[in-house]
Amino acid sequence: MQSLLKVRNVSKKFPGVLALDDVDFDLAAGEVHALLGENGAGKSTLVKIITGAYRLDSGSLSIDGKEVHFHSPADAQAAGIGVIYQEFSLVSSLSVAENLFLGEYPRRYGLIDWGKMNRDASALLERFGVNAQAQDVLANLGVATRQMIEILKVLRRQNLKILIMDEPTSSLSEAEAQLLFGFIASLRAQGVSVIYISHRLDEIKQICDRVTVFRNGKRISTEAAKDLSIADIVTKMIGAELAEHYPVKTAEPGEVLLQVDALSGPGFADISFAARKGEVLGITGLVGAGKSELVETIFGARQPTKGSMYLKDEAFAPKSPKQAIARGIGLLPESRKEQGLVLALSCAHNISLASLDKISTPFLALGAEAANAEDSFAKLEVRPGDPRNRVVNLSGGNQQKVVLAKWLMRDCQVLLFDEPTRGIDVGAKFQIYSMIVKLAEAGNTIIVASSEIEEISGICNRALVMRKGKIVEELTGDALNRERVLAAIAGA
Amino acid sequence: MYFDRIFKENRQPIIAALALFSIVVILSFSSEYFWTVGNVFNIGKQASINLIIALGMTVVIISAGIDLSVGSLLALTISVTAVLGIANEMNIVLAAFIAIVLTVAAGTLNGVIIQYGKVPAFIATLGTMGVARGVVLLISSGNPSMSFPSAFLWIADGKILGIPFPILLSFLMVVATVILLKYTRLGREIYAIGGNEEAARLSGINIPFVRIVTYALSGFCCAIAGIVFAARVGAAPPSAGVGYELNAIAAVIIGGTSLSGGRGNVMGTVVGAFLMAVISNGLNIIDVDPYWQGIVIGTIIVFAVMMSNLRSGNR
Repeated sequence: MQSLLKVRNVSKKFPGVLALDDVDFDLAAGEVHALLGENGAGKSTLVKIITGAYRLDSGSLSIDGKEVHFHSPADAQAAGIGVIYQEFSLVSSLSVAENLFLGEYPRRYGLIDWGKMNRDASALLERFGVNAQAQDVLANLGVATRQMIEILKVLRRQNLKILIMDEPTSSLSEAEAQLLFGFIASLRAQGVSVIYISHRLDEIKQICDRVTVFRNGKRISTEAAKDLSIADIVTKMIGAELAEHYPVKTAEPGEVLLQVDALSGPGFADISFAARKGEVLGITGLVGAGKSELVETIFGARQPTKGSMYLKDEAFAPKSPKQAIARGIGLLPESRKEQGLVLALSCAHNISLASLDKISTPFLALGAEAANAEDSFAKLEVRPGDPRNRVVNLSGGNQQKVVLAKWLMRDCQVLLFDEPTRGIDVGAKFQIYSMIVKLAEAGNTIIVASSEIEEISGICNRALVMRKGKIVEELTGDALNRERVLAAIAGA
Repeated sequence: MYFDRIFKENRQPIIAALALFSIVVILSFSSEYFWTVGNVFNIGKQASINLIIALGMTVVIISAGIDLSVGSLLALTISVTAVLGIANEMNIVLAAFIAIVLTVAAGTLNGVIIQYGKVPAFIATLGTMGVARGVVLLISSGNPSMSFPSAFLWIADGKILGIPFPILLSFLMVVATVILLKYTRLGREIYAIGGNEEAARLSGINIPFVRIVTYALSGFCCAIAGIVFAARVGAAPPSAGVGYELNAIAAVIIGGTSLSGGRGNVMGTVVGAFLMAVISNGLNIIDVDPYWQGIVIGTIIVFAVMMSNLRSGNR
C-alpha cells in the first residue's frame, strides 16, 4: 500500500510526561484509519503534531515521500491536512454560506460578492445532499446539520488530502451517524484519507480500514479493522483483558418508586411507565425523539403540559430542579460543560454544589467538603487526583465523574442519566457503568436516557424505545439486545 | 504545588499587590510626608468610600452581573437623609435608616428588573442610574443648602481606639464580605450562578433569589458609602457619586475579578481600591496636577488586565 503520510520515530515531551514515545504511523492514500486510545494515550498529541499545532521533539513527518516541517497549523493546512474538531468551529449567528466561506469570502471590486458566495454554497450543499439553505442562520439548524456544515467547510479546500475527524459522531444519533458514514465512504472513493478518532468502537469496525491503538504514549498495534473484534480493541486500549464488557445485571427490581402517568410536554406526548427500586431503566431513541425533554421534565427543569407523576405513591409535580432534588431526584445532564459543571470552580466546589444545605452549618464546613471530595475522587478514580484543581482542566471522562460525584454526595433515590458516556474514553465509561449498576443494587432507581444502543442493551434491565416523542416499544430480558433495540429505534 | 496553584489562580491580585507595594516604596522616598500617621489615615479614609461600594460590586460581578447605578444610589442615600433629617427636621438617625432602607429597595429593584424583566444588567442598571439621579435632583431642588449637624460628622472624623471610623467600618465590611463569599452557602451560590447559571439551576440553586440578593447587597454597600460620604462632605450635593461606578468597577477589575463571572475575590478588590487611593494621594503630595489621576489609573487598569491575560495565554 502506498503511504500518503509517514510518521517516523516521533517523540514529544511535556513537563513531567512523555506524551509520545518513538511513534511510527502510516496513513495510506484513500483509507479510513482509526486512531484509538484512552484519554492521555497520545492520540491527540499525534494529531496536534500532524496538524502543526505542536512541534515534534524528534522524528520526522513526510507526505507523499517528501519530508515536511510544520511550524504552524497554517503550514499543515497548506499541505492538505484538514481537521474537524469535537467542538464546532462555526459562528452560530452567521448564515451557512458565511460559515462555509469564513475568512475567504469571494470578493468583487474589494467588496464581498454575496451572490457568488450564496450560489457556491448552495452548489456545495446540493452536491453533498445536505438538507440546508445557503442563507439559513446556523443557530436555527440541528446539531447533525451543523456537523455536516463543519465538514463541508473543511472540504471546500481544494487540495484536501488528509481529513482528521475527532469524535464526529459524539453528538449524532445512530441514524444521523449512518448518513455521515456514507459521506466518509464517498470521501475515501475520491482518494481522501481519513484519520478517525472515536470512542464508539462499534462504528470503527463499520467504517475503518485499519486501526491503530495507542497506550501511554506508545503505538501498541496497527491492524486491519476486519481482523479485530471489539473485545480485542478494548483489550489493546486498556492493556488488560476485560472479563466482561458490561457489569453483570444482578438486581431484582423491587417496588415501584417513580410512576409517570400519561405525561405530555414539549417534545414528548402521552408517556407512561413505572420505574422500580433497584432497576436500571433505559430510554432510547434517535436524537430529537424526546428523551432529554422527558428526563428534564421529571427533574423539574421543564414543565409538563398534561399528565402526572408519583413518587412512592405520593403526587410529584416539581416546579423547579430545586423541588425535584428535595424529593431525592438527581440528573446528570446531556451536556456536561453547559449544564453539568461550573467550569470556573474547583472540582470540590462542583461536587458540593447540589448539597450546600448539607454542609451549611450555617457556615460552610470546608473541611468536610474537602474530605468528601477526596473520598469520591478515590472511589471514582478521578485523574488528576486533586479535587482542588479547576474542573475545566480535566478530561471529558473525569469531568463526568465529577458530575456523578455531585449526585452521589446528594444521595438521590432516583438518578437520571442523560447520555452519560458521550465523548468519554472507554475506561471512564465502564467505571460509570459499574457505578450505575452499584447504585441500582443499593436500591436506587436509575433511568438512563441514551442513543447509544450498546449502552442501553448492555446495562439496562428494561428499555423504553421512543420515536417522535412517544414510547413505541418496551424491551426486557432476552428481547433487550442490540438488534431489537436498533430495529425499534429505526421503526422497522 | 499548593503555592503554585495559589499563585496561578490569583495572578492578577498578586500583580496588583506588587504594583501597590512598589508605588508605596517610591512614594516613601519621594516625600517625607507620605508615611505620616495623618496621611496614612487620609489614604484609608479616601479609599473607604470606593472600597465599600466596590465590595458590593465584587459580589455583583462574581455573579456575572454589573451595577452601573452605584453612584446614583449613593447620592440617593445622601439626599434622602438630608431632606428628611435636615429639611424636614426628622431625627437624623431615623432619617439615615429610612434612606438606607430605600436604597436597598432600589438595589433590590435592579435585581427584580434583571431577573424577571429579562433586561441585561448593564441596561437595567444604566436605567436606574438615570432614574435615581433624577430623583436625587428632584428632591434636593427645593433645598439648596443642606448641611449635616456636627454630631453626624463624627462618622467621618471620629476615631475608635485611635483608628478613624471609616477605616474600621470598611474593614468590618471587608471581613463580612469575605465570610459571605467564602464561608456561606449564599456566597458559593453567587460564584456558581456567575460561572454557569444553567448548571447552577440544575443543581437546585434558587437563581432569582441569589441574583436579587446580589443587587440588594450592592445597594446596601452604596447606602453605607453614602452615609460616610455625607459625613465627610458635611452636605448633600446632588452631584455626589457621579462617576463612582467606574472607580468601583476599576478596583474590582484591578483586583482580578473576572467580568465574565464565576471568579474573583475580595482581597483583590481591597488591593485595587488601595492602589487607586494611594496613586491619587501620591500624585497630590508630590504636587502633580490632579488631572493626571485619571490618566494614571486608566493606564494601570489596562496594564493590570493585560499582564495577567498575556501570561495566562502563554501555554
